Amino acid sequence: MTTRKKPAGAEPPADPAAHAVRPEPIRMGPVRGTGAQSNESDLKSDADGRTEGPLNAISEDVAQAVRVGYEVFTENLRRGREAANAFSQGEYSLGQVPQDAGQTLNELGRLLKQLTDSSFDIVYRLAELLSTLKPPPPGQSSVPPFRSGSGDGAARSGPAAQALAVAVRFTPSGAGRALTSSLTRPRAQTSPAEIKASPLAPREGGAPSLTEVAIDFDIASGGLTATVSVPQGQAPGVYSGAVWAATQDMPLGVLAIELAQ
Amino acid sequence: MNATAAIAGVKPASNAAISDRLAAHGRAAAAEVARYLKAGCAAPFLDDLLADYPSRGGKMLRPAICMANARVFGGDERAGVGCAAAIEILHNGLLIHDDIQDGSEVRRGRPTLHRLHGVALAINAGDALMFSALRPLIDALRPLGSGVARQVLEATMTMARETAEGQALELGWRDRNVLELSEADYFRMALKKTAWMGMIWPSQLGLIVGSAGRADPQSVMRFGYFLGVAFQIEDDVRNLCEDPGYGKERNGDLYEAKRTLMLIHARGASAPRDRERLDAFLALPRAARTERDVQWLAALMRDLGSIEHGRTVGVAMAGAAQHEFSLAYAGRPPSEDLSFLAGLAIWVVGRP
Repeated sequence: MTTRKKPAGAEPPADPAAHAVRPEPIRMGPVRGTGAQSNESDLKSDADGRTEGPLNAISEDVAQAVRVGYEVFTENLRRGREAANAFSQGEYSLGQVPQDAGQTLNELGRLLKQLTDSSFDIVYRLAELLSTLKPPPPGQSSVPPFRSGSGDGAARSGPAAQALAVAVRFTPSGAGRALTSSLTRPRAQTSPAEIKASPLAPREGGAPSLTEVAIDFDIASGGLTATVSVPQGQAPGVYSGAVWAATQDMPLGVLAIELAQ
Repeated sequence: MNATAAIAGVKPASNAAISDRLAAHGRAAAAEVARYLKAGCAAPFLDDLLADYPSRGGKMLRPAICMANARVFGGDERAGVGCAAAIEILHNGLLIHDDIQDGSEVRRGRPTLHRLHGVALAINAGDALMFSALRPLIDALRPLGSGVARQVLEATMTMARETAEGQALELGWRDRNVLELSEADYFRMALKKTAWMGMIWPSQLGLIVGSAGRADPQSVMRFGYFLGVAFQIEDDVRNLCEDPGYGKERNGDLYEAKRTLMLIHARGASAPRDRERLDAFLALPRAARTERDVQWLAALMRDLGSIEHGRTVGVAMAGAAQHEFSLAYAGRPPSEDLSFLAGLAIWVVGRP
């Protein structure tokens, strides 16, 4: 906690050097209903008495709080991405959820049936849904493009904000390591199914290309996952291929990986 | 900064219009909740309990956010109402468990479920509600395809993890009497405990089903985050005020030693003698905290400007939510639902 304010009528701290005192912050409470408004505040209100411009005059303490708020969110997102990556590098992959969910939920359903007579057959329907649903026809929905990242928020400026994180997974797990961690975002609205990777060709030598690269959405990280299937006996080395969005002619970048010895 | 100008062409809805929108979406979601919770043959000790909390009403903010997003991103009401019902059912299941964890006695103006029926049956009802939420969710996703279903499941899994982490933080701080906390710690807790389940997840579900999986769910996260933090701070501030809201106990958070932004501020700003007394108060079990001590702490918070600081930070967070709204929803065609979402940032800190 960085905020320190001298209490009204309170005794001074025993050690002033260890208890820094900051100036009084500007008083600016929120406007509640049609209540009176502080003369010291620059807040404007509409006919409802609602705050219109809450950030006209804020103290350094409050500005710092907002900065901290942005940092907390960014840090949480970064940790989530790391956790998702670590999770995916184990034996269980988020990208395999639909298949695994079927097995897991069947088991869960069996257990729940033993617990209650109420309608827990829902889990069976979930498993059924995951295996039978078909995607909607193209062009059914009008939606905006991927976020451009061009906002001026405290934690989103710079090239990193334009990037689309990509987590590379391998089948079998541990077969290689990713050399690519991000791509550029598509310029137009694009669904994960419209993003494809070209076969990953070896940088040198005559080894066959890696043709099975599945691209998918990764909500946990807000980016993509690329699952590379590595055939048994595939030669070690660096492989790479372009990643394309069906909605544009420029590739989103190059997906590069390195297979272990 | 003028709110109307900041949202480029979208005039935020007034409080009255927001209330109307909450009521309209709330009615649709509540009807769907009731339909799903109505069992063919009433199971003893279960079905009455499942229907109890949903029947007590509430702001219906979460389902309304979901339904508004579904419409803003191109879907009709049907696309969002199933998800909205799932959100509301799950929320009520969590409330039952939350009341037990907090030892709360009153919920929405009536005794909590565990006070009415005992802890064991209440926990069971909470479990059942959380699983029952899957049914409307699946029914809503069925026509949209497995890709959309998987996106929704992943968003839901992430929300479940984040919410559990947030609840663990709040309970752990209280039960282990953690004292050295910063504003950042509070924001992290509010992000996980409140914003994810209350604002981010409903926004994401609405966006995913409304756009049939083609829009970026990450785009609404910052808006939901700041909206949720502003909402939580305002909720905490009101708990210290004359009228904390119906069914809530004034200064209840102080009795529970909840680590609110104001408590963190007060501890950081207090003189050594006051901090010593505050730490001793926080170390007491809940039943041993007296009215006199609570009144002293409330007065200390007022004298130190902690309540005013909390209000101001809450308003600033609402401002950040407005800013994030203007980025996340840029280019969406004007509509009542877009205005509703645009007005929420102001509404959360000035709601009736």
